[in-house]
Amino acid sequence: MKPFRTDSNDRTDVSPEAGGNRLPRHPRRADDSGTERRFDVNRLSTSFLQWWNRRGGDGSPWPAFDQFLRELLLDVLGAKRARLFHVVEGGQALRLLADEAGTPNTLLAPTSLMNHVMSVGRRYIRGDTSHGPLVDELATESEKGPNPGGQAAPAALADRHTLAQAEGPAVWMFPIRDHEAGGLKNIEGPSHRSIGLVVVGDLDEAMLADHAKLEGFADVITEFWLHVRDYECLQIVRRTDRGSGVLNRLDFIRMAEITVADARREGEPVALLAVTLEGLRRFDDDGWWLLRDRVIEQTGRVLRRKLRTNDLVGRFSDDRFVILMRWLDLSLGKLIAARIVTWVTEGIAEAVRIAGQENRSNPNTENAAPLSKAAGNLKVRCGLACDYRIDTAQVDEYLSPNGPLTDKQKPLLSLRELLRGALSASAEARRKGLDLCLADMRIACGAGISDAVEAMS
Amino acid sequence: MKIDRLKMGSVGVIAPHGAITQAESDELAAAIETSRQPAAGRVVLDMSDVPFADSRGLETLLDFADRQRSAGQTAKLAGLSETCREIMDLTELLGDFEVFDSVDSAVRSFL
Repeated sequence: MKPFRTDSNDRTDVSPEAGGNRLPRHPRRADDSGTERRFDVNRLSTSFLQWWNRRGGDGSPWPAFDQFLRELLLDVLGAKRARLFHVVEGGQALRLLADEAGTPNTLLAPTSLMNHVMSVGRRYIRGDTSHGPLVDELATESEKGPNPGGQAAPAALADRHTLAQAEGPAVWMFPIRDHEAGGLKNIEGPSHRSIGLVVVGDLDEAMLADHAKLEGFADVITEFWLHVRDYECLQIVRRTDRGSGVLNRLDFIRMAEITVADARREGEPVALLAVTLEGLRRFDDDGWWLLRDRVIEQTGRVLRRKLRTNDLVGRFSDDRFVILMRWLDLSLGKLIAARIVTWVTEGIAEAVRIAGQENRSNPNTENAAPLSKAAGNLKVRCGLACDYRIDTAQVDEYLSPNGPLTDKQKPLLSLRELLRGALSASAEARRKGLDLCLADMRIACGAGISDAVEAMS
Repeated sequence: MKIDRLKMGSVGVIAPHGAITQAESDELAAAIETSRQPAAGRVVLDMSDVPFADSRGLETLLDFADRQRSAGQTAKLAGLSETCREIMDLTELLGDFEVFDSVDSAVRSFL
């Protein structure tokens, strides 16, 4: 039997007997942009899946995603000079996807076209007459750019600055909106927010006129973006201790190893602080589980909020946190440690207050008096160890990039030694009833190191 | 440690290159003092090439702030790196300084 064909679609509609699809096919029309769009979706999805499966490593997926999207834009639409941004600082600034850590955030001018697209959430296509006068005006200013005297409207300067002078004005721009592509458009309503921005500087005029295709492409890109974002969230959850929100022990050690190695390579000091919450374990015995959870939560929150961006905070055991801080010598480490003791103590007081409120609102639990008594037995004990043995005479030699390090050049402390020093110092603080003890650096560093002498004194 | 000393109008600009640690602190303190006197305290410390400062380095900066205050001036820092800014914030030293994004804006603040 001959295959059955429709009038216009000659590719896949074969009879069931021939192994074809039983579903009726709609004939393809020349102006059916939806059909074209579905075709694109399949192709794009396949490209994305292939890239996703090829992608390796546990690092940030964004730089690779940036590369993938720019290639996709070029291959499928012929779009050039594409720039992809994360929206950061509560919508006030942008950061390039390609450079997660290095590039400083670019502040957005409130009157720029980019800011308009991002905050309103409406896509911009050059030549689209439906934009309205405001967008037209912003786009015109942006296209003008600064004149030879350097004067221009703030909007133009802002957009040009963000895109870099050589990139020229944007011809197509669309925001990545949270939830929008996930089918929640009608539920979420005005609470959508922009989490990213795609800006294209060069696109063929014919393609610019094909709004349906551009809209479809932007939808698909949004899906991919949200997928990568969700994956990153899952990665963070996987690395994070649930109770405190800081790194779990395994990932703390993994990341700390890298940080210590970096610090050594650069010849920079690094300090490790162990923070022990003495008396926390008794909460379990006494049945104060709620208070215990609140104390852990508050401690994690305080450490995350107060410390620097590059400091690593991890939960080492039930009642013990560890903090790895770069660029701190022993004196500075002591100062910061003293502040951490104060902050954590305040955090515990806040935890007791919250737990007390929760306790009072629940008539089935005991009253708050023993709770404050239990909290009163909780003490913060810290142990500090520093790797800061590179003295003046050794710096030049140590930083020499040629050849392997000699024994003389190698620092003596490893992460393991730092951990051992800090943990035993915090145990000593507990024994002596002190807030802070310093690791006895003689064991790790040997004699003659000024900081070790200071530590011993 | 390499320390550049520039003059922008009547304002002295001191630009240390590299971390300010125990070894470099005295040299920097001397450079600051040398520039402060002829400029009548109109001095800007360009920190854009300082990756970090240890405790001794921070003491030197604090000493600079004290001297400026005694002379009726404020200590102006330009181009602080994120690392320096964070440690100064953490140790609550930022309040002792006027911080500017660039040397130009710091120099202009004297006008």
